[in-house]
Amino acid sequence: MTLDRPPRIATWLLEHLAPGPRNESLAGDLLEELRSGRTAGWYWRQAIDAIVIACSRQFLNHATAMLYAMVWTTLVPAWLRAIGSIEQRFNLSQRFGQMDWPWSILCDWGLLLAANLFFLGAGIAIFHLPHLWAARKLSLRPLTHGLLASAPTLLTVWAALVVLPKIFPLQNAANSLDSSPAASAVPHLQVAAMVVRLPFFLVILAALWGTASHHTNHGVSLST
Amino acid sequence: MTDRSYLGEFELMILLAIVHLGDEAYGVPISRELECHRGRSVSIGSVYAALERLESKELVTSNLGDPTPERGGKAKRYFRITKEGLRQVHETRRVLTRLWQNIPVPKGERA
Repeated sequence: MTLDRPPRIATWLLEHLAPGPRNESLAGDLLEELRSGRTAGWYWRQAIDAIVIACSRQFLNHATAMLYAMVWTTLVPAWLRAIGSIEQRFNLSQRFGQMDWPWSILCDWGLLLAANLFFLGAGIAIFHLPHLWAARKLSLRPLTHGLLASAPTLLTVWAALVVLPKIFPLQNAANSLDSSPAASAVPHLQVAAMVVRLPFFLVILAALWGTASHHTNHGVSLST
Repeated sequence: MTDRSYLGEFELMILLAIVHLGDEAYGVPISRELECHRGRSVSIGSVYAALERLESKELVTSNLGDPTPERGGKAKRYFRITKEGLRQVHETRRVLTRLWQNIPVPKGERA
């Protein structure tokens, strides 16, 4: 029996989970084969294969960016500590607190955002420098794109981190951090460090994602 | 000596299939050609992944055909080997032929 319509779910997954310029032609090829006598099981296998291969390629193309984002964000706790000590030294919280609303909030958050954007910008710039040096071409486009992408992404992730704990309360974990002995507090500290690093990791990755594939070797071999 | 990497086995097979198929080289016939000669099924996704690599190395070029109703309105992508691709196919054959010389034949098989 020849199937006329492809399995809907498999087609949807293929269209949405297999990114790439060849997606449409590939989907057409699978449909052509299905209509020439292949089974639905064959279609499913081919669709899943295509998704796995496309995702692996995406992962490999961006492996450098992911690794870099992980390494760079290990500096986040130290950076936040440095900002905190500068804030304390110049008594900024108190100065901002004396301002009228909304300037007090705007200055406080604005300073934190600017400091964090500086950290992110430095990370993005350092990632691109070796590639620009290797290409012997000064192009500020990837850097500008990265920086422009940083601010909205950072704000979105921060907003999510403010909202999410309200939905999934983490208060118990924070309380146990204060009361528990040192040995059992270590995992909580690790979790806290990861939560602090998460927005920075996501922002750097988002900023580097579009440009990283141009820097990586396109000749990555995938087995059949 | 050239300063580029040699073709992988699967890439070489795909390039040869494209040459065999001529103007009709798109995903389905390429996969069928490979299945026919290898004697086992081929994932069309892996064929496209290899074609994408070959295109990025400028060993093949591609162009979209017209969308057809039997393919759900999706266009075929036709592939064609480039001059450099053909040169690399011949280069790979030359190297492999030299390497195959004086390889002992297993017992019970004819040379």
